[in-house]
Amino acid sequence: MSIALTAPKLPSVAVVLLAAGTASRMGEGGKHKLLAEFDNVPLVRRSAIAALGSGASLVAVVVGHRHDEISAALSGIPVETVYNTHYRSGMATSLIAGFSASEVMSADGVLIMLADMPGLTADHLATLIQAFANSGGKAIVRATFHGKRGNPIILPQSLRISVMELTGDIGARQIIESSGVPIIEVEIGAAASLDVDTVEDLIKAGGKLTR
Amino acid sequence: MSALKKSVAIVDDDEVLLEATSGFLEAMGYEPLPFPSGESFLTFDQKEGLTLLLSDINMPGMSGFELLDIVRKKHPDMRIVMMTALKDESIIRKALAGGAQALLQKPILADDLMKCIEG
Repeated sequence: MSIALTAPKLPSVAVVLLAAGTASRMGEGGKHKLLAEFDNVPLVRRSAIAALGSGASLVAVVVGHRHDEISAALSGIPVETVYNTHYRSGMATSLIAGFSASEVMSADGVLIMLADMPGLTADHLATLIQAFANSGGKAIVRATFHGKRGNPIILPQSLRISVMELTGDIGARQIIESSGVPIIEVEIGAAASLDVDTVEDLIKAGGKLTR
Repeated sequence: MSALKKSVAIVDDDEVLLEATSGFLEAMGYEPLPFPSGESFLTFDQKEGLTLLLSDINMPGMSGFELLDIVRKKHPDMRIVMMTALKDESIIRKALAGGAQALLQKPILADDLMKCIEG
């Protein structure tokens, strides 16, 4: 008689990297913040590479505004690009587009990552994914900085329907506050709150505007 | 009810919360016992083995405070933690004065919940 011993299956996590917005605070006709370079790498590519190094099962990048250039900046790395035709309608449409990608649909959890956060590393994301795994894939995981709510977050599969019902320029915060799913907060330092919305933010964070 | 795992009764009329909290506690190694109302919890006949009762306050029919009153009288040793989405100091005072061990603010932080269980 043989007994098959199998290790418990760890919950899978897909990353939805949001890179579709118009970045209106960069100024009219301005350069694109996600194409700005940090250490000579476009920010969107740097974010995608961090996601790929996190242990996630898949990285889906949602593109919209200037999608040809954003997609070109991602060339040669194994991410799935999802074009959100409704990107001007707000973040909800990008979340829905990302969550609709076939492999994202089958993941136990989805890590929602904003592409304009230059401080995030693969290690930060791996720490969040580990916390999600430790909860058996049943909790919301939220990055914090000095206890303050930040990004990224991981939503369990049970909240997928709530995401698909979002409208307008609403992110996942409303779902987190109202879902009742227990929240695990993970302190990852300043990277959790560092995003670049303006030219000044970008330069201060060490970026160089290019296109 | 398992003799090996700590069991936590959860009373909430919100089905999504009930399911989510139960799933989380199960993943953490506890035995969750979900009840959609205070009335249904009171019919449960194995209360003595419970580690903790976690109850919402604002529910149709019997409120969490009413449930707290009844359980405190019948089972004075039972540890009870209330939870609410309302941000009102008077509710916290009322819960603690009524014998609750703590009041958790929704959305519930996993750490706070675990601390309450491990008490």
